[in-house]
Amino acid sequence: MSSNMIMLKSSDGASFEIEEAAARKSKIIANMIEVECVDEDKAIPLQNVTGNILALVIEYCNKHIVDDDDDVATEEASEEEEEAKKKKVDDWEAEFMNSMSLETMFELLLAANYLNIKSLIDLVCQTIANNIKDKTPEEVRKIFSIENDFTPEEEEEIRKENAWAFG
Amino acid sequence: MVRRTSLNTCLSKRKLKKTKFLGEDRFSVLPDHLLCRILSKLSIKDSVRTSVLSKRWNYLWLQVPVIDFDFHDFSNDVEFLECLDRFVLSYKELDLEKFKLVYDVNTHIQDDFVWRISNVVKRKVCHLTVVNQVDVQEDLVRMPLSLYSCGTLVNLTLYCVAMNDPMDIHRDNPGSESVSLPCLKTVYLEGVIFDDSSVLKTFISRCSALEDLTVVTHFDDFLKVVSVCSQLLKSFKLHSMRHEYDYEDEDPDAEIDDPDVEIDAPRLEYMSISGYQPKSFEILSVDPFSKLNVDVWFDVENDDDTMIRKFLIEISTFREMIISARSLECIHHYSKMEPVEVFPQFSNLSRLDASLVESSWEFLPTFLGCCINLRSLSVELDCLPEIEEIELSPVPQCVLSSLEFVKLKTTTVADTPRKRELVRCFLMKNCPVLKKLILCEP
Repeated sequence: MSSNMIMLKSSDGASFEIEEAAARKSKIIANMIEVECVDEDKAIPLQNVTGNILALVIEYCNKHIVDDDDDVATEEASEEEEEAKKKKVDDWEAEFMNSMSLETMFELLLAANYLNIKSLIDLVCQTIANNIKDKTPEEVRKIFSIENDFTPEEEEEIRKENAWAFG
Repeated sequence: MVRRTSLNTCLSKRKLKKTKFLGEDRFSVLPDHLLCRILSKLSIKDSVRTSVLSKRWNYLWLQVPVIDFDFHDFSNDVEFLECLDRFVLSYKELDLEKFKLVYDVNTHIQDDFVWRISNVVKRKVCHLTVVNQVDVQEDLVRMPLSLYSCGTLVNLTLYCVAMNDPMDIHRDNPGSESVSLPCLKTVYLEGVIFDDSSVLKTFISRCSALEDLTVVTHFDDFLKVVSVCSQLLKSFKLHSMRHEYDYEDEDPDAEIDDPDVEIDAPRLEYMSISGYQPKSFEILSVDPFSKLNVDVWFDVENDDDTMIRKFLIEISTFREMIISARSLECIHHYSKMEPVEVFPQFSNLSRLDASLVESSWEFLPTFLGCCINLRSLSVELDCLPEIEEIELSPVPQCVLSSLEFVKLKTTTVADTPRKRELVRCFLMKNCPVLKKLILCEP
């Protein structure tokens, strides 16, 4: 089955060809396709996304469009097969996120937000949250270079207010 | 609803070092609403702890769109309720996507509870889960009436709470609709106490967009009838926990009947009834091509035979069926009392997954004789009986003409390969259209 290809252009001028089905993961692009009837030989300009980030977004969309197709095709798949498939996707996502720096991760989150790709927003937020989970505020500040702008008195006051969470 | 992820993405030391050298707040590039998205992925405890990171973070945890309040994260009622009230009241103008409450206080005050949930409802919640662990026998935890008119609600999960009669709204505000939940698609009700069985019926029939309904009945919810009348419903699951309760201490002779069932859902595609022993089971309408997962049995000794016959006729229209050992045993028992001729033909049935106890093995060919168009058969049994040869006369029609796929799984290690070989030989000889045969060892 042949599928429509569309062109995306990053803010720094790099062009990417992507299957329409994969591009539709982005609600913004899906809307453009619906409403503005995208010109076949004209690239969609994405002013807020750089080429290296757009490449990651496309990698993610391509991976997930294949998975969605599988869901329809294997109606009779058993529970074990479903589990195995889900694990494969989870492993891929873990590897995908593990391969990038914090800086890239934040840029990817902004791009996913701009392009409105809900599952990618969820994935990146979950990964960042995993770096906050079970850590002390001091550790979190260090990981993300957050400057503590409270006075010691102010900080003490907040800690007292929610003492149960800091115990 | 709970998304399981296997993400263990710890950042490598190298990357951390790099970040440190840059010395710039990583989060400064993100707007507040994305920080709230990140906080939504954390437990309430981790989320509250971020309030101390910096001034920017101080009140962010109060603005999250998704939150999970679990009493067990707190050490007492006061801490739990203070934190809950602070959250509910701080940013009243912000919409809530998901709100989950695991409620288990030592002192329940009904008015305060209603007030809190009403405030959540007012914040246009889409997914609401209330798990009540306060002992309902002593203290009923009731949902507010305003829940019935939550226009944004898509998904509702309730555990062991009480629901008022929606008609009460009508009494308070004459002329208003008693239930107006235009977006509600998915409902899960477990151990929910309705003032009257008709309340559940009214509630379901007024949820005009309902597609997916699960009802789990407990021994102490006193539900008498599960009546499902719904135009768009696609999936219905009903499970009884009543037989899992240990009655020994109370009344060993106690009769446990599950609520009667009435189903009128013309678009239904999937129905699952499990752990279920009703006095009466009535299917008025379902899509004839739907799937059924059935684990229903009747009291064959005492109940009226017509009930089982009626039940058989009702389930005979489904296209795919998973049937439990208990259900087959009950039908087997019934077949001993009634001539097989009165059995309906399961002519739509193309796929059958059956669990068997050894004693029902002899009944399987009789049952297959009713499934004249069966294409796929999967059988799981504890042990194949000790037999020298499989001889069937007549061989069921579906084996001769339509059966393409057979899977046989036995669960006892002691089963010999010889017995499986018997099954293989029988099918090879009698089943001309067979494409695939799987014999699973334990």
